[in-house]
Amino acid sequence: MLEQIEKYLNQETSLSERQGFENQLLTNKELAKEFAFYMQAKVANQEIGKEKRKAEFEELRKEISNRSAGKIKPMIWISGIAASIILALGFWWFLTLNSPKTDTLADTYIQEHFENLPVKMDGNTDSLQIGLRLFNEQKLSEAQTIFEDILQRKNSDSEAIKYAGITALRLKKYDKAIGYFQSLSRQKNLYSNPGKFYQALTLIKQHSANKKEVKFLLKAVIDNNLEGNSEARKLIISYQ
Amino acid sequence: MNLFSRNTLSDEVILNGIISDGILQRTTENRLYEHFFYFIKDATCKHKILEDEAASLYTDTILAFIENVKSKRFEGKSSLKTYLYQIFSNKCVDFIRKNATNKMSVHETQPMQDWVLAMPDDAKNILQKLISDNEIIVLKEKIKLLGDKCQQMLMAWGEGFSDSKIAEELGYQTSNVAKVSRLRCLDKLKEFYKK
Repeated sequence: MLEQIEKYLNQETSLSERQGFENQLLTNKELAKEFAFYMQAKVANQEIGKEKRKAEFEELRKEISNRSAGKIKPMIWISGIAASIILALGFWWFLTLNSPKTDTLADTYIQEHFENLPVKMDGNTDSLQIGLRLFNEQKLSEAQTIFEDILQRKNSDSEAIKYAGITALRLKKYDKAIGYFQSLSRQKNLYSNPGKFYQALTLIKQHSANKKEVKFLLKAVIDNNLEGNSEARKLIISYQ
Repeated sequence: MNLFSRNTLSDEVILNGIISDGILQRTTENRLYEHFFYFIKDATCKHKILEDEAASLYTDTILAFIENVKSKRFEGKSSLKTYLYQIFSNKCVDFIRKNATNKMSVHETQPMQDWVLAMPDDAKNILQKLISDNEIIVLKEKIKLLGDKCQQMLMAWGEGFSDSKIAEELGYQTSNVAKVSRLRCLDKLKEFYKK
């Protein structure tokens, strides 16, 4: 009887056999019971198959979870490193955004300190004072000539070296200025020596400057508490 | 690196694997299970259900999908991921509703198979009266009384394997031999059932 049911279900019967089978189902209680058994047996086995597969998937789930748990440590490391990089970038961005540009700071310093140089008001006519007056009258080239004349006579005159360098900087003769400031920074017996700081300032203005050198100079100013120390701190932060 | 990318497993590979036989089929099903495993975590966040509950629903989803592929009810109109996610979402929503209203179970047995639904109404009514969930539970217990080979064979039959595939998997010489053996197993089950 089971085979007959199966043939019907698998559509292996002719149309008339099908109709005959369906009519038989209405009258033959045994056949109907057998049919119900067949169906229920099929569903029961299907469910068993599904339950077995579910159990297998559950095992797989545990395996995947264990594997993921094993990955937690490297994941934490990776996340940590990524977070640090983001923080560092954020900090750098914050500083960059909130700090005035190095060039602006340098310009401000030059404007505030190298626009007018200190002159003695006693009508002294020595060459240095004449050069300074010319400088303050914005006659920079003439002032430069005076300072260089003094250096011709006395090449270790620290005041003349300093002002010759400042004038060269104002005249945008950066290489010349750097030369004077280097010479100034080498002077050992000065109470206060701004040579390194001025050299760094000039290098900043000379955009092609070696960044490492600028940083090295600024750091030297800061570390040795040289003249220009507080400005050097501002410059080094903005100088990236 | 696995952190940012999942292993590629194309829809075509999955579909072909599911309709293949034996080890390839199982392997593909397992890979499919693993491939969309993250649905479970998504559901715990989105539907606020426990991970175990989400995992159970996910397994049901995979099984339903496999069944749909085998019975050709999956027409491939959407991507496999979309289709699976839709089934899974529906199951999650049903589960939440069931919890809220205590109504019918999502996992309820569906004894009326497609081919019975296509029968004439009179015959269908008679069968509906004879079929019940309780009887299926009883039968499941009786199946355990059968020998291992019979159990394997009937399970494969329940899962929709043809006699020729059963013969191949279980080492019978021909599909006819497998069929005869299967029907004998069913007879044996009937005997246990009637006792």
